[in-house]
Amino acid sequence: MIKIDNISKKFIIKNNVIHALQNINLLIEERDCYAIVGESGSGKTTLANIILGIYKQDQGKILFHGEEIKKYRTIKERKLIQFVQQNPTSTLNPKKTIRDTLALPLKIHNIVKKKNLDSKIKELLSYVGLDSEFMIRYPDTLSGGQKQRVAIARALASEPKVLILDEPTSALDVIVQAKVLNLLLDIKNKFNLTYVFITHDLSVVRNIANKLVVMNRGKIEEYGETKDVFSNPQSQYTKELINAIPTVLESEDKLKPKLD
Amino acid sequence: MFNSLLKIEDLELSFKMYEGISTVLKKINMELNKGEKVALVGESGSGKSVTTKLILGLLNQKNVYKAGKIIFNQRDILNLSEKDFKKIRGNNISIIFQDPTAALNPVFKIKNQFHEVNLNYNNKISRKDSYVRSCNALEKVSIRDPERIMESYPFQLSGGLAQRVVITMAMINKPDLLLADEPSTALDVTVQNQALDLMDDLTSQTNTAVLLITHNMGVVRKFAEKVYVIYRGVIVEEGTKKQIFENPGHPYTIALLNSIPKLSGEGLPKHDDNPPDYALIPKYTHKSL
Repeated sequence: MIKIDNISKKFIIKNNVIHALQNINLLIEERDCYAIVGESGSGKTTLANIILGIYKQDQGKILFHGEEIKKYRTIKERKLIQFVQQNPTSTLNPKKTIRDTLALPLKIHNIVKKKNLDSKIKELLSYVGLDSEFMIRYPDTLSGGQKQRVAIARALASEPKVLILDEPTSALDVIVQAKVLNLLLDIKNKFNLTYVFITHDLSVVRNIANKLVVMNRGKIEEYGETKDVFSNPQSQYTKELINAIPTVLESEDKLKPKLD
Repeated sequence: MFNSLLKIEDLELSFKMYEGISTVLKKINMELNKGEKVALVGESGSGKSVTTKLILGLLNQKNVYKAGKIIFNQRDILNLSEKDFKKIRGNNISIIFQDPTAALNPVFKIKNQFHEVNLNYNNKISRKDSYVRSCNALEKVSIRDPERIMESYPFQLSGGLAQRVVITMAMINKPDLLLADEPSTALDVTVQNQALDLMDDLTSQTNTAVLLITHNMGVVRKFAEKVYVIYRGVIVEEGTKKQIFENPGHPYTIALLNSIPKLSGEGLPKHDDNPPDYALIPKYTHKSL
């Protein structure tokens, strides 16, 4: 579906050159859930931003359904690839009601006629388990979990095929996180979506993603089926990463790989 | 009782706001012994961070109503004057905040910020002595080039390094009590592990008691000896680490543990759509060992 072909990106800060991404190759197939993990500065968010067209790569190309994505996205490409960010508080406009927030993508992409706008917004809210009374409310009257649900509804508004989720649950409490993760999984099955899930929480990855990409310093360290990588990690870095996960059960400790 | 360092008795806190009175803490009881590592676990808004603020005497606004006792070293510090609190803060009680880059002042070099902490220890210390004292402390936490760190501004350090500096700063005066408010939440898993190990190491050396505030049960399991679970201003369960993790008694604690995705990959955690009001269910206390 999305082919990432030999992408490199560097940032120049003063006189230092930072190689954020170095020769990344990745094939994202339809209906899979890809997890991209790595520590801060490993390049995972840069990769997402390049797929979304926020940054332009220095080298390489991105193919979407076999066609190269140009420097400026067409409206169709923007419609099909959508984004959910980490902090819902800063991604929702505080001066707009939830109705206006959700109406914007519907208008831009001409999803529904004007007279059906409100019923479509109600439908979107029902997908994420929110009542229609939320339409008239402002973001600051919502809890963190509810805001993230609105952000997910907004991403779904343009009927995308790919959702890029950049740490969608790391700003949430564990109980709320469990609810939002379950919601994301339901939505994925309902709309046949492809997920690119960027996170550093490996225990979440283990339970939601079927493909795992481990990134370290701008390079892909390891790639494979999630359960294979967890049961038999190849690189030292992946082993350390899995070992560092804080666990709550003794049975989980036994699953961690042994460090040399 | 000789061993008791901090005792919180029937602590109540409420804020008077435009909409009315909002009660944050409802008769909380806690106890920390010398050198003990205790965790206070709960979700956002449960009142865990305000508890640390009360212990440090940082809530003195007019709209704050507080009652109960905070007994630190056999002395009630809840209504202490600001002048007396200044002697305690940084010397007897110190704190580590969640975001290390926000905890350090961006316009001062690390050495100047260390100097201020050292003045707390000895108010006549010279700049040179202060520099040496800080470098020694940084070397102890396996920072190889303390001189470079001392000459840096906070934004020149990585998150993990900045948190190391903050931990060192909090521990340099060998306090009796260290309050750690989500010290590792802003960090990556590998760096988080190192920061926790470092905190464990330093506090064990000086026999400092730690009150760890967190919402991450995995971190609690790694670090704490005794655990208090707080929900909407009520302590719902207390017990040793072993008791809480192997035999949780309160429905909220069970829900908290169940909602964490497991490494075994048995699927996403189940959740209750209509949970009961956990605050109404009486507190579960494990038998003391």
